Amino acid sequence: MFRAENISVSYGPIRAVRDVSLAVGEGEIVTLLGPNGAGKSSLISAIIGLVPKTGGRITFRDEDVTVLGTEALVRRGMTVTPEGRRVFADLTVAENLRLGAATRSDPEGIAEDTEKFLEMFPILRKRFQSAAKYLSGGEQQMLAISRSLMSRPRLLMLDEPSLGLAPRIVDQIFEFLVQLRDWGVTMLVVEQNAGEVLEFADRAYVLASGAMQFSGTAEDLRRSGGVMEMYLGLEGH
Amino acid sequence: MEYLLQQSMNALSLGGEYALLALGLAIVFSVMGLVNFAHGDMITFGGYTMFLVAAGLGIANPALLLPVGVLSVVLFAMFLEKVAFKPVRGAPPTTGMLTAFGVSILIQNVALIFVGTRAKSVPTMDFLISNVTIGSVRIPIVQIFETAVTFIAIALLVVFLRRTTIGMAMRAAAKDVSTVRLMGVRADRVIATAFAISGFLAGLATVFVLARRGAVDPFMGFTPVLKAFVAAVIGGFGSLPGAVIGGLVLGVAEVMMQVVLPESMAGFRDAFIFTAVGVLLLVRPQGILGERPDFGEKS
Amino acid sequence: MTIERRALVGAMALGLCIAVAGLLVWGFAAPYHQRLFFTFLVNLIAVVGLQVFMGNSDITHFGHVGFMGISAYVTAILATPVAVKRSALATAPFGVNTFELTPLVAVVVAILITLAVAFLVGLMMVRQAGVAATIATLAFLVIVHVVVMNWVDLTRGPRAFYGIPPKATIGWAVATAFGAIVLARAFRDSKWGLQLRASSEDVAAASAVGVPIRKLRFAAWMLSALIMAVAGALFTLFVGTISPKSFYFDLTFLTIAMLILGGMHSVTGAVVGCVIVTVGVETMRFLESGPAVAGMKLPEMFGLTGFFLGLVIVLSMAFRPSGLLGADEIDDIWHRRRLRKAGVEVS
Repeated sequence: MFRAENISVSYGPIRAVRDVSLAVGEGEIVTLLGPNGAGKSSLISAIIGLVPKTGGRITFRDEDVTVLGTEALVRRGMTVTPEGRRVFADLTVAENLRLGAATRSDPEGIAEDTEKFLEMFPILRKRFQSAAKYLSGGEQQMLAISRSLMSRPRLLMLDEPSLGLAPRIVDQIFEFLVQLRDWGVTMLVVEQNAGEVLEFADRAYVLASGAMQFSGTAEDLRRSGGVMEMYLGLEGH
Repeated sequence: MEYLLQQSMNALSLGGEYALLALGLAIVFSVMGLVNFAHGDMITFGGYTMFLVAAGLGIANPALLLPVGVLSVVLFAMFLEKVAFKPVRGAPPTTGMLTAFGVSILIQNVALIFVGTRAKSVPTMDFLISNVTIGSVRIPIVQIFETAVTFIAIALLVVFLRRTTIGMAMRAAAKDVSTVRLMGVRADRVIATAFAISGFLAGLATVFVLARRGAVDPFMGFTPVLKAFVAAVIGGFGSLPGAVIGGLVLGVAEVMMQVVLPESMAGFRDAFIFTAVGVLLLVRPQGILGERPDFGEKS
Repeated sequence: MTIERRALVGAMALGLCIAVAGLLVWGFAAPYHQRLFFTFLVNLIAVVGLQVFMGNSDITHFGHVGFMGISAYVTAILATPVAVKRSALATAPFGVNTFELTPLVAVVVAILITLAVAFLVGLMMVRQAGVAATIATLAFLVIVHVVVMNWVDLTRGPRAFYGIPPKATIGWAVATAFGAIVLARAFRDSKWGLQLRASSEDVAAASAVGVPIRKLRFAAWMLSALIMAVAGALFTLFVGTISPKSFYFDLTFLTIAMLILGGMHSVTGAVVGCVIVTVGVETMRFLESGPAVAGMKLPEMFGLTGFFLGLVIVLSMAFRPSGLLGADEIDDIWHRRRLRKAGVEVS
């Protein structure tokens, strides 16, 4: 459903991403792992068009979308829940969700979806008219993901959803992601927190120093002791 | 008592005009970090358009002339954005501000070259100049008009920013443009809308500036934009409510100063006001509603 | 060569060019061209003064010409002979129409008064964020203009102030320009200048390491005001007649365009910008009057000069925001050439 081929990203003389390719199939949860500074965020930013890429091709649902800009990609059904949540701090929860649906023009559908997420995350209902800056980290993450889903994307890319959150909240978030897969949402999850993600992801990529180091099923990754240790600091089993 | 009422009306209408001008500046600054020095020259453009339409086409009907004037400023604002400011969009704020400064000089001198220094009178504002009598107080209609228009415009703006998607996008873009783009909202559209609103507010101000002056000349935009800037700084530069409050404060201060100053010192009025503003900023550098820029100054 | 010494050498080189030009003009040029050259030198000093503040603190400064105006008027008021003042300033306060000072003393007093004003304004300005500071400088310019225009008893208001003794010579102007350039370079490449420039790029980081940004900005502000004051006094004593218009927006646009074109982060840039824009403006002024060129009579186009300046600013910002020289000084360019010749890779 989604394929990125030979993507490179440079910031001046620094090459953050070098000739990376990956693919995500419909209904899958694919995870992109790697240590700090590996280039994962740069890759996502380049894919969604927020940062320029040097060379490469992007195919989404059989369409070549390489030259499209961010807004056009989002309208086609790709979206990113950015690193660090990036909720609109001065806007209310309601307004954040409303903006998430900016590309849609069906008020009943929007209301339905809003209700769905308020059901899922009662805290959002409680804080519906409060500014997003008053939410805790975990609550903001729930808001950010809900906001991304308001556009009913076909492919949702999440950039480090567990960053800075307490383990209990992280469990909640990941449970939610699994449920999303049941609802038919395809996901690419960028994470440093490898252990947990590999429990439920279908396939995995490992990026380090801008280059792809591993690509295969989550199961295979869990088993390949070397890669796990070297790049993720975990023991394989 | 009547005197007090009259002066209050003075202050309110003048403050309203300054609030409109300062808001136009603040919107553009808050959405894209641009200090639009050419804001005043948009007023000049509007003025000349109205003059040309009135004198050239012989249209004297204000019901037709005023909307034309306002519309022309809106279109001009959007044109300026596309042509002059888009190329420097990503640049540091100083670059944008200097570009706007250069654009301002260009507009003034184009007016100079093609239309000449002599002011051209715009003869249509008769209905605005008349007075209305309430009890024993005589108030110029233009002041009532100005005050009313200011408040309606501000109310409309608030509704726009709070209720429409693009308005919410503008408020969000003030702090985080990239994430707004992730919502599928085109950055171009947000910025163009901000300029259009800025132009609309400037267009409204043009009508009042013209009513006050009765004539257009190439440099008529300078004093309004200077007052607008000072008002915005008083209220806290970049803050929308601050712009409104700053405008009102400046209007009140100016009228008060006019009342208090003896005839011989009347010419110094602006010097006194600006100095007073300077003292205010000494004590409270961020303005009335501004946030203290401890680090990472937005400009 | 350490950086400071290199800076001094570079400044000397620039100064020498100007001195040579000055010599040629003084020896061979017609009086009209001598006047032009003097005006060029005054503009040069003004641009250098502007550079000291804008180039080091990265804050746009619209008020520099206001300092020139204050100094110019004080000099004029104090140095003009009593005979002239008795009629021109018949109702002057402080009894200024009863005494006159020698030009030198008048200049010193003018500089001191200007610095005092700069001190007060600076106190307020340095605490402002960039944009607000710029607007403050703009308001300052307007305040000065309003005061000069309205204090008719002291300044003759909008009317020309005449009879100022024309004591300034090209020699003085050249020497002053030389001095301004050296001062500007000395500050720019001193520890203070370096700190200020670095911190302008990242205010947060600089504060975190304890750089006293406000104090440094204040220092740059005062030095700039000093240079502007000297320029103002010099101008007054050459031209003999001044009016408020001489120190308002025309000069402001002109000097800012010069600095932006040349490169605001470099003193050499200021000088280069001044030269190029002066040539451009003189050309424009010639064209404005509707001259006959190659047998064709061109139309009168008053405003062409201003248009040219606006274009310079806009095009510079669009295509080369850091100016023709960027942040390079003349000695930086030499140094890179030397390294390249020696086969060293230079970025």
